[in-house]
Amino acid sequence: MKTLIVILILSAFLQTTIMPINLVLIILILRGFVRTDISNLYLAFFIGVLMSLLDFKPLGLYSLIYLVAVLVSQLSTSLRFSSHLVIIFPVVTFFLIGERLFLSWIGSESLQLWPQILIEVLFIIPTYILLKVWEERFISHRDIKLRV
Amino acid sequence: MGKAIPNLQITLTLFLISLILLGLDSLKFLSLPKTAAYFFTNPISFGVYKTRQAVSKEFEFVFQSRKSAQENKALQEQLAQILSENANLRTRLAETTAQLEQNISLDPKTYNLFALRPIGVDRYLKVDQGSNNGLKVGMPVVFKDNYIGQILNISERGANVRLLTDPDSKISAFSIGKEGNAKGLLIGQFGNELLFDKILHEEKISEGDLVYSEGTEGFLPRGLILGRVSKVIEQQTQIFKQAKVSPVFDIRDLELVFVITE
Repeated sequence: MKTLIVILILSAFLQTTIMPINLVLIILILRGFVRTDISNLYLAFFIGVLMSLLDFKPLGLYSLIYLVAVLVSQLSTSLRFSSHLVIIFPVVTFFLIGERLFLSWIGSESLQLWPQILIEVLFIIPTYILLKVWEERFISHRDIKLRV
Repeated sequence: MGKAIPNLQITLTLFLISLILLGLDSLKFLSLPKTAAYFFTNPISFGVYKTRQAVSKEFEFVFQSRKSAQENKALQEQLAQILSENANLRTRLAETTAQLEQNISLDPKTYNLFALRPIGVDRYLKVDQGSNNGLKVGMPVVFKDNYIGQILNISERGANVRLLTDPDSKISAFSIGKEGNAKGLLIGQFGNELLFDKILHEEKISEGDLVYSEGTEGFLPRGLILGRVSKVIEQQTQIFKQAKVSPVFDIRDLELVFVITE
């Protein structure tokens, strides 16, 4: 958990200074899929406050966006194929585009999707794999044995 | 509903706190804690930004050293040719100087300038000064005689600057060249290019001409350098001709920029 917090804080600083890729939102949504936990909501809220501060936007704005995203990802885990990338990929892509649309509407700015969305979409699969390996590192998967 | 949405109470509480924070910030009740937070976050942002600049410069050196060796050989051949052209250039310089004397330069007696430090750049340039230092939305940001952008949104200790290359940026401009002058509208394009549009066909413009601000918008002075023409697009079937304009420098190399406060 501490490692995840450090990674989220680092991603927030990188996102607002040198690398305009929405890593924070990707990590939060994917963690909601990997692990349904109350800590996801707290992470979404506090990291949202930090992002609002670093991006010079009104405090609470990013918190609202991230809370909605985490809530939807956690609700999606009740679907049958929720752990499959067929569900995860479109949900994450939808929120990446939706966040930019919402912020451009709030700030009356032009919408810029290309090429950032393409780069962010490429980050989804490796981030999901890394998160899944990290979160399930203490879970032993027993081999299925057939009774003969 | 509690079973359908896990941790419903916590979720609603956090939503409510976010809305309260949004409301309080809109009413400027959170200025003091935000200012305190910026004392910690701005130096970190600046450190990350400077680290990126330092790393880029290290890698840049490796590529440039090879390129420099090739350029050195070519330059020695060109030197002999340049000496003979020097005499012709002196004559042209006298004519260009008379033309350049019409341009207004930024005199500190005429404009109040305030220094800003860039702490990040994505779509907008982030700077480390805000409303606490008298900055307001709409103020122009410059570097020497060059126009960088306009302050778009502002916080107590920081601001976002909309760059000239942003598609929301539209500036009345004119170009001056050896063949003549041209007037038009400079529109930002995503990336590192600008489009000089609405140029009449009878007005002269060519590659290498400098483009300046007209100053008709009211928020920036006339005569600030906006870029250099890289390509002229002329089609007789179109009402106007266009030109692609490139900025004269890379904004990521700047250590300081200045805002015209008055």
